[in-house]
Amino acid sequence: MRLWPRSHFSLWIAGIFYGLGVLVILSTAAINRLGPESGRLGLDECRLVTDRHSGLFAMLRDGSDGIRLAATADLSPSSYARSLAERLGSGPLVQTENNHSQSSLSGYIVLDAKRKYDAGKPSAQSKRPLLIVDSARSMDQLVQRYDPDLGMAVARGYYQVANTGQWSDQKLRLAVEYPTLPRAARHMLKQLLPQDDADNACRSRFLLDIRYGALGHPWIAGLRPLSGPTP
Amino acid sequence: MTSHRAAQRRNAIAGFRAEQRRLEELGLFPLATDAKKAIRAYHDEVLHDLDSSGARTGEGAEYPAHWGMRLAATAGLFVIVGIVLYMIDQSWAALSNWGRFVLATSIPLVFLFLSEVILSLGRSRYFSTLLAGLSAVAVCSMLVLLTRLFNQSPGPLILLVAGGYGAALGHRQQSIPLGSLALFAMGFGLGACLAVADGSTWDALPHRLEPFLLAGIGLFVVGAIKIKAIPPALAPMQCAWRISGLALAGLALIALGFEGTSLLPGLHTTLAKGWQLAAVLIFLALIITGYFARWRDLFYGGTHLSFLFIIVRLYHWIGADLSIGLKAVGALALVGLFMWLMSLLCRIYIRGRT
Repeated sequence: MRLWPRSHFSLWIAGIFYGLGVLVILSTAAINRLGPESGRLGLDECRLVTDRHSGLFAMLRDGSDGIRLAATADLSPSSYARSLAERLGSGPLVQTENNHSQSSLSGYIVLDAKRKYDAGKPSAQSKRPLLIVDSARSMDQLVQRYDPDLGMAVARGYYQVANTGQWSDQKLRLAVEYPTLPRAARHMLKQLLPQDDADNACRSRFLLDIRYGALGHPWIAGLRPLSGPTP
Repeated sequence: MTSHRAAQRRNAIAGFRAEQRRLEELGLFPLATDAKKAIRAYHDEVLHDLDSSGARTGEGAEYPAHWGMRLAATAGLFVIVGIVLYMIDQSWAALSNWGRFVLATSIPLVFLFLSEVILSLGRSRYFSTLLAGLSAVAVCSMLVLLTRLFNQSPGPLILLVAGGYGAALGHRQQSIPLGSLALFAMGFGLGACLAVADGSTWDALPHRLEPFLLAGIGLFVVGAIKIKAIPPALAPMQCAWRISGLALAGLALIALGFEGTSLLPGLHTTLAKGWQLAAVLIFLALIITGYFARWRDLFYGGTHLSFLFIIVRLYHWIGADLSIGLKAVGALALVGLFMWLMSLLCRIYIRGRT
């Protein structure tokens, strides 16, 4: 038996496509990691959603690897939301007359890990979600607007522009909600028992160190246990 | 081409050459020297491609596998692959990220290796094509996994790359079904890349279908023009380009008949009606051109697309008012009508050809 008796041209083409696909992903990851960081967040357990459904199929389906970054838009004061919406709507799509009613665009968003969530909202009782406080089509527009020392980061995200006569930016979300965890972090998460939510209070048991790279993609730098619950 | 057919082709060429020599000796082969040289060069090229495609000689050629055997083997293969994937899923959390990377990148290569082994053994092309198709699916899954591993969001480029990989393997196997499916995926990926080039996400795709129409036309044109550089053994694969191009462009054209699907400036209603009219005219032109130019792909492609267009428009107009029972009866009637119409068209086409 002789495999590839004469190297067929089609196999070379297949090899080029295969190599190209892997190379693009690896080079993008390298640019993201080797370039300047665009923020670093220390998130305790109560700012995250732990998801026990991880595995090959879960990762294929939605990227789940044990942790989800649950981010909520908090554009206060409301007048700021209006100006932000107008800024988001300045992309090429919304200028066309025939634009459909709503279009999802990719861009960048600013995450704030320290700001307190509005106490009037029901989810504030136990969980303190990650807050989205600003957004723009390009990263350059946001560089001046965030402070990495104050627990902020610029990440890739999506937002929807509604073409209803008045711009609206109601749906901001992270492009990567399920970051891939290192093996040690996955192992530690697996050891944790579910939270006892009898008194509806979240007690943080670990701290996640997450960084955002030059392209706004996240990676997990570490996950360490906390000695006691955070206030 | 199966190894059995490759052996038949070799024997036919050898027979032709032997008969040609006899006729030349009798002075009954009045072709000019240039024409004889051209025929000989063509046959040499065909034989070279048959050798390089890995097909074995007539002595070693296997008979095509029976359909029952194919079904049983396919079911067995899927069960084995399912069990292996389940085992990987269970141990996925215990692997390091680079271990996941190695595993994800090696699975398509395993399928490709098995496909090449079967091909080199001269077995039925069905199994080698099936494994090649699985390899293409595995490449698509691998690319999704790698983007997740490196915390990126999957984009349409994945479909373009995996489609190209599958199309190349389809050509390797000389399989029109695999080639057509993979080329369709590649064209869809290309259209999607063009459609979201301004930074939009997947959600925007249904509202901008012209890039898919253009990608389909591009595929069809590649399959329709005569390219001298293509080896004769690969020439039949141009049919896959035409089929996938017709399918992609035709489906895009049908979908453009709905409001809000076009990227062009203007009123949604006017645009939709314009695209509906364009679809009717283009599909009719395909049928007529296919019939008179004796181009089977165009004729049958135009017929299928016309029928699909009528069903879609009918459903859109009256589907909401029908009960589920009436819809089912209507679907059965349409399938029957379609089969009758196709048999009628086949007879018309064959009669026209003879």
